[in-house]
Amino acid sequence: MKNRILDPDAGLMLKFAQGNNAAFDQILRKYKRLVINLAYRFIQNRAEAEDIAQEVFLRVYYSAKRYKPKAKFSTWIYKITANICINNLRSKKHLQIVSLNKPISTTGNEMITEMPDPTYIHPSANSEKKEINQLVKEAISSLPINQKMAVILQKYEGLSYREISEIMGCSIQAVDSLLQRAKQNLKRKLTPYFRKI
Amino acid sequence: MKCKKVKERLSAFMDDELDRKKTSEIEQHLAECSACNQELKLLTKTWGSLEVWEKIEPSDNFEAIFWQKIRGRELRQPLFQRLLTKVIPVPTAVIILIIGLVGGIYLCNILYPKETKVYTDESLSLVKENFLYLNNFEDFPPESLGGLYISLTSKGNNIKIEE
Repeated sequence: MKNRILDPDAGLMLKFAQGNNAAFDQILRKYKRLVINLAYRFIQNRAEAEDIAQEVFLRVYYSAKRYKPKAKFSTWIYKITANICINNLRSKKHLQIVSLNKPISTTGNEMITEMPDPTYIHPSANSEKKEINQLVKEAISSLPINQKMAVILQKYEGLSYREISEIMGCSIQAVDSLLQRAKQNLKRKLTPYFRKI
Repeated sequence: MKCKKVKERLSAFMDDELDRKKTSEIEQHLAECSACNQELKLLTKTWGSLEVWEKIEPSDNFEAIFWQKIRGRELRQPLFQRLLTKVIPVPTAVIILIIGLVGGIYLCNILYPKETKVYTDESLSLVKENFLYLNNFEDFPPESLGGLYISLTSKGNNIKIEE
């Protein structure tokens, strides 16, 4: 009862469980941005992020009758999203990803780093912003899965260590350690580009 | 506090996750240590650089696609299941089922009562004549199982086993 008063979104979910479809519509409108952005930052693909968000809301929709407001509603929906994202990324791990920035091996034991592009134009100020954006994306993408999730939840969702520990199912100390290592990794990767950033 | 310990806590310090005592210890150390100060500056710059990654907006038809998926899934459910979950709630369906079962058994008992056999003296004696009584074992040879049974029941257990 206390939770219901504290968390209006949990109240919406309970209303929906009692057959009020408009309550679910409110949840969908309120959380779609949050869920899509969390998935997008984790997967780094817009179409896949939307698919994951659809999956998240389908799970929320069909678990309404079993829903018990033990934690904050937002924590619960973050947890579902994080689980689907992590499973999605792990299932894709068997695919070999070839980076276009890495040197390409040729038959004559020589390595070429890139293909000449006749349409290449020197980056303007606008494309420099895109480049920085790309650098940040790549740096985050290179982090181990758990560090990446902790960074996204802390930096972009502004969650506390306690909330992150609830979502990721680990201790607060573990979250602290994950973020500490993630920051060191990011520092190593991004420091050479600081003159651009 | 030593530099190693401070560096371990810089991340939590940046995120405002330390208690007042530890925060003040780190602040005190940073005021005196340029190396730790430099480390904090680099970490803060790194962390701040992540802000360039902008949010995206959901596609315009996101909600429409969601409700379409729900309708699609519901249509794929068997008619009986849809009736159960949508038209008749599950607890009501269970109560109706139990009432139907009990009522059916009751009606069945009224419409088709069980035939009870009433034995008259004559029919009873006829049954007795045709029934295989255990006393018939008397006709069996004494070494047989029937003979053994008779000796156990009628002669007071005086069985002699020949060696």
